[in-house]
Amino acid sequence: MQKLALSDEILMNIEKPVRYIGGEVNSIKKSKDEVDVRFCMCFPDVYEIGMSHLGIQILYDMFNKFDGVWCERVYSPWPDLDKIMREKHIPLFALESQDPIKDFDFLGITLQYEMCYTNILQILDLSGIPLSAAERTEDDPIVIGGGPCSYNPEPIADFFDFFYIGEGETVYEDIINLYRKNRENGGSRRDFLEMVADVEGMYVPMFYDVEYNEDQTIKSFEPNNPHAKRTIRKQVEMKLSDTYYPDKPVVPFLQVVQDKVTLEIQRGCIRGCRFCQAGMLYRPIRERDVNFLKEQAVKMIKNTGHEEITLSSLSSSDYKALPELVYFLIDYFKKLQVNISLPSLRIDAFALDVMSKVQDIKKSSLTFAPEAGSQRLRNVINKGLTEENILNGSMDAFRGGWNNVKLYFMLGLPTETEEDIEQIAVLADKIAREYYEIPKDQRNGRVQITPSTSFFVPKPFTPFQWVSMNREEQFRAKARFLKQKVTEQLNARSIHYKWHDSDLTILEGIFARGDRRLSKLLLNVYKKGAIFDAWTDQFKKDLWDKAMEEEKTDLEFYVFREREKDELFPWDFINAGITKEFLWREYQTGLNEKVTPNCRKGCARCGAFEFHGGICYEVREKEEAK
Amino acid sequence: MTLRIKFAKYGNLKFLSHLDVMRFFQKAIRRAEIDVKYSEGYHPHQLMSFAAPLGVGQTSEGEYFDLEINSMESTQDVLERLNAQMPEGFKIIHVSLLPPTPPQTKKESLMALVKASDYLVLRKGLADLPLTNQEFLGKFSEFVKEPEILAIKTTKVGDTEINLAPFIYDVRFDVQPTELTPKYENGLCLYLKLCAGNENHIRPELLMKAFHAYAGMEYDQYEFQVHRLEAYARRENELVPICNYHD
Repeated sequence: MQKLALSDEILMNIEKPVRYIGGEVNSIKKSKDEVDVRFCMCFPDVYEIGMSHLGIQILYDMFNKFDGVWCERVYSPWPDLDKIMREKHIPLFALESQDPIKDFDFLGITLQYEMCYTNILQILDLSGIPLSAAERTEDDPIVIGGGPCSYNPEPIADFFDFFYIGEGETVYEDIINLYRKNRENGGSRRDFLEMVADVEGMYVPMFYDVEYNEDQTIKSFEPNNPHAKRTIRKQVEMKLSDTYYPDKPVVPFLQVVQDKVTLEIQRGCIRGCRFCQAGMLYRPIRERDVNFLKEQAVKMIKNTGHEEITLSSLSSSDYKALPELVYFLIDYFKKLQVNISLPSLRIDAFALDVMSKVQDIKKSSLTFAPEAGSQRLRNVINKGLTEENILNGSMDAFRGGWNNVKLYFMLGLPTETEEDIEQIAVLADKIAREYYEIPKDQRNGRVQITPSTSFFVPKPFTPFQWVSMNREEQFRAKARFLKQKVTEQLNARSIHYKWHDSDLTILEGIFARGDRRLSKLLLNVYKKGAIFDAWTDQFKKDLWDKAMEEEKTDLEFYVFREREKDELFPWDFINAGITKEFLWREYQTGLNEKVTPNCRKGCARCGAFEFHGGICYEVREKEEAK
Repeated sequence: MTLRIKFAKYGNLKFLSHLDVMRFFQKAIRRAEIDVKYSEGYHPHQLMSFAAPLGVGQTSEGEYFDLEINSMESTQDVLERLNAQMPEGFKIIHVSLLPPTPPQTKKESLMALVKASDYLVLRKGLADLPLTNQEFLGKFSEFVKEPEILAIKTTKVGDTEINLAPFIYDVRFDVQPTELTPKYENGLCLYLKLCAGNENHIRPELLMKAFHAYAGMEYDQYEFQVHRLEAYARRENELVPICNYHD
């Protein structure tokens, strides 16, 4: 029996002790004598969130397949345990071996959202690892960052030894081997980081110097080490049907957020919505082979015993063999009582047929994500969905027995006017009117339309990376305005408007497009006690306000100003495949309210062609044949 | 067909809640490819019912649940298949097929069957001990001879004072820890047979607390580990282990 790092007394006095004991089905134990490299993978949020993340499961499986490597997991201790660990000086430990993180060779931290940044400091601090990479010694693990937020790693650059930019399946084995080689040669930590800097996609922040202009913008961003590259090109796995994918994902004892098998059917997106960072970052779209997916689904259900499987992608409807895959899953899993869930499905005849087979119509709802209320604004953001699509899709669904529609919108999009916002209420009302076109005796009770709004945050590597963000007062006024407009609609009683508050939105905006100087703000607010900022019940606005005041964080500079075309952005040293010229062109096309066709209809020359594969080749070959 | 499954929950998995245990078995049963029966409707669930839930932090080798199945090869096959899916901390001890419920009679619920439980209470010896093991046992045997042992039982409706004495069925000091019992250097091992079930469920902690009050000592709940050995049903005037009830 594995000896636990925490005593019975501590475990009995905290919420959900199962978060910290490991030993889950399919978790991996190796003998310490048989491994020479120990890697700890961290999702800096609570266990139930971190265990729901597919990326960690993929990398955990991959690292453990490497000879001589043992990969373990760690998640953020919830504030109740955090307090006890600080009082009793208990070092943070990995779940599998319960050994201190400080004893590991590597600590890899995934960066999924900006509001987990204080949790990174918590992890390092509780582990006893110096927060600043510059202060670490030969005894400390190498701290690596990866995931979507590493596409602008600058606000947290000081805390990481290096960032792995791009997809993890490609060069981690090489990096582990470099580590071994360096160790054999008796090399130092710095020697190893220089070797890492030679690998494509690896960014070692301490090997770069940043200078600023008087207006605070970046003047220069230059390597200070001969091994550091001027631009870092992202890593892309081009063979998605012939790479690491776990047959036996870890099955948590606790009920986690995504308590199911996740099948990633493709990576990337053809749609090119101009606000969407994921749609730009993961280009080109690459589909996994349908037979690979079928086999994987069967194995994963068998090995986990999960009762649900979900298809994951940015836009499932664009997966070419979707009907074949979905009907296979329905047939195969019916007798095994496995549910199938299909998020991000465009509502059409196929979707309605599938939904009627896999869900209880009475309890389920239709989901549309128009993102903007008017066609004009939808053109600005390049969201192809039209009012006709929504109304026809809704009507077909209503005839099929559905009576519950969810709509997702954003407030604060570039060029937005009151008219655009009002159109959200009008669209909701039109859907309700469609419903009441159906004769009363054929209707299934009342219709319920639930529009909800979130606030738009401009992100790096999107056509909107130049735009100014709305102020808090503007966001609130817009939400109030929409609320009023909803009440003015004919079917106001069938429309239930919901909105998320804007507390975190501005902070997210600061860190999304921020620079290296923000690490001071993070340190300051962390030392004041901020952790778990993404949790509304844990978020302490007063600490952030005070820290921003002390650090003189200039919101006008970071979020509220419109940026110049040629401004040097903190993330410009990364080559994510899409060029800055393309993004600017898309921004201008958007301002002209023009739509850019999706990747399958024609190549928009974004730059991802340089990865030599996926959709780019299919489309360009056709174009060039003409 | 109904199977009655006896299992152990031990080691680090003592921190799993009753809900976690149920979820664990639902998945384990699917992995083991048992031909389990599901309820009707849009959200079918496995037809399983558990005996008295075990408190978080306690270990046991006397846990039970009933499972409805469509078919099986043999109870031995079910036992082997399930054990192949158990991580360290769970173990299937016994699987039996219940006799069919006669028509027109209501199936007896497993929960309602439970009338008594056996426990081992182990002293961890982590804190400074006010009494040696010898003194502790001496005092304890005096204590359980008292005609009236008053304790405050906290229930949903409020606190009530009850007399524990009639619910203590047996106390022994010579029972040896089993293979699945947590091991502590201190070595003190107390065996208790207590009334359990829907009517008067006496948790060992309640008795330990009352003992400490009687002995004028402070009660530290983390000083003792409770391990359930068995759950009993009543057949006429005899207590029989649940797994033998239908023999």
